[in-house]
Amino acid sequence: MPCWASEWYPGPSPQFRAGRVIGHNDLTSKGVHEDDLDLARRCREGDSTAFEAVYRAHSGRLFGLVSRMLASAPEAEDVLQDVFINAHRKMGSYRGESSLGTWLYRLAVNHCLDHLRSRAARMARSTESLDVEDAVEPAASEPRVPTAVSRIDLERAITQLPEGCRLAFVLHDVEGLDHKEVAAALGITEGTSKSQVHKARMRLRVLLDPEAASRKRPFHLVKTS
Amino acid sequence: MTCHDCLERIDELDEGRLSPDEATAVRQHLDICPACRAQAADITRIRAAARGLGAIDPPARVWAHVALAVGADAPSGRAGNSGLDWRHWIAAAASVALVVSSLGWVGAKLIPAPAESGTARVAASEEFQMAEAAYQSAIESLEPIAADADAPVLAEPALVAVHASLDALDQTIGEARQRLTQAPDDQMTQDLLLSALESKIALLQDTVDLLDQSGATGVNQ
Repeated sequence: MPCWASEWYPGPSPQFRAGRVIGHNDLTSKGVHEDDLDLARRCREGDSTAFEAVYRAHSGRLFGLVSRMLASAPEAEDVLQDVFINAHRKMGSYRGESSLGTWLYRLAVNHCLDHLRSRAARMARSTESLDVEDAVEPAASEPRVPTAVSRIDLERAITQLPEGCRLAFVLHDVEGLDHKEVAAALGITEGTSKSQVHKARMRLRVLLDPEAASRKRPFHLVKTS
Repeated sequence: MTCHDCLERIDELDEGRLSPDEATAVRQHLDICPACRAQAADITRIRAAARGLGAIDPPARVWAHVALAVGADAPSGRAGNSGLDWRHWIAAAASVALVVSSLGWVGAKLIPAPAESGTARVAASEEFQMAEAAYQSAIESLEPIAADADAPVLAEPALVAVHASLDALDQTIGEARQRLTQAPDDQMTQDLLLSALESKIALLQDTVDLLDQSGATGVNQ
């Protein structure tokens, strides 16, 4: 299977890049986000406190998004930096048609996808197929996922998902986008989005199963009597 | 409805995308099929946990780099600030916070290690406990100095960075210790805990050094 970037994942649709998918209906009653427009204007005029306020307000959510999409903390830092540096340069193009948060969010998703494509091209990951087989595990008559899933376990499990289903899962289940929005962001069909999210959940079901984990535990972690 | 039909619709049921009739049919199957019921429960748990993941504060050095790149000046904080360059300080101090943001990635790729003998495991465990105790001792000696020193000399971004980093490190340390109570030999969690403790020491030491430079602590005067 060739690299996923060119096969499975063509990239965001023009509508998504233009901002007509996510946040298309979050206008204020006045039709524009006046406060955000004012903040953007101050940023353009070189008010560093305004730009820092933008960073403080949105960097946490964006870093969560970028980190999970890329599954790499160092790369996520680089991309987050690029997002904000690029946002500063592009602040003149912000028209207030969506909130500044939505505008930045879109920018971040696009940066991630561009980064993933260049990463795939760099590494020519022919070994990492997006066409993930569903986890083959025996049917269980009891739930396998603990009632309270630890944040650490879930974050770690997400990094172990193949990229295709990880992206769909992060955007749908973590970020709350609907399948139409996920499809537009990733340049896939809604059906593919549903299928990838399902595959991700089935993988996570295995990854979060304590019994399955103990079966696959590296031997240096296995207790001996 | 067969299990196959049901499993195809479980996601849609959980996401509320089924018509009332379809939802009823799936629920009726779930009532009589433990395997499908288990899968449905797992999907619900995964979705609930995923929704709760939330934001991750980036290391403060990210802002330092962004600020430098866009030519932003230090925000108008307290005048003077003892001539301290807050951006430089943030970049240095926050470098230790990587361990927090790396939490989800630590050990993501488990590489099987060579089998250890029982003696080697005991030795490794004792080594870990000694290291943890030493780190904890260092932290206990630094914390009062950092806490006693009222820090009016630090610019607002530095204070925010310190508190955010310490909070995040404390959370990591707490979670790692909690996990070790359940799996004391989990090498990955041991490494994570030691990294977090090291990071906290470095951050406290940086804070103390900075306060010392400004004469706020009275240390080394």
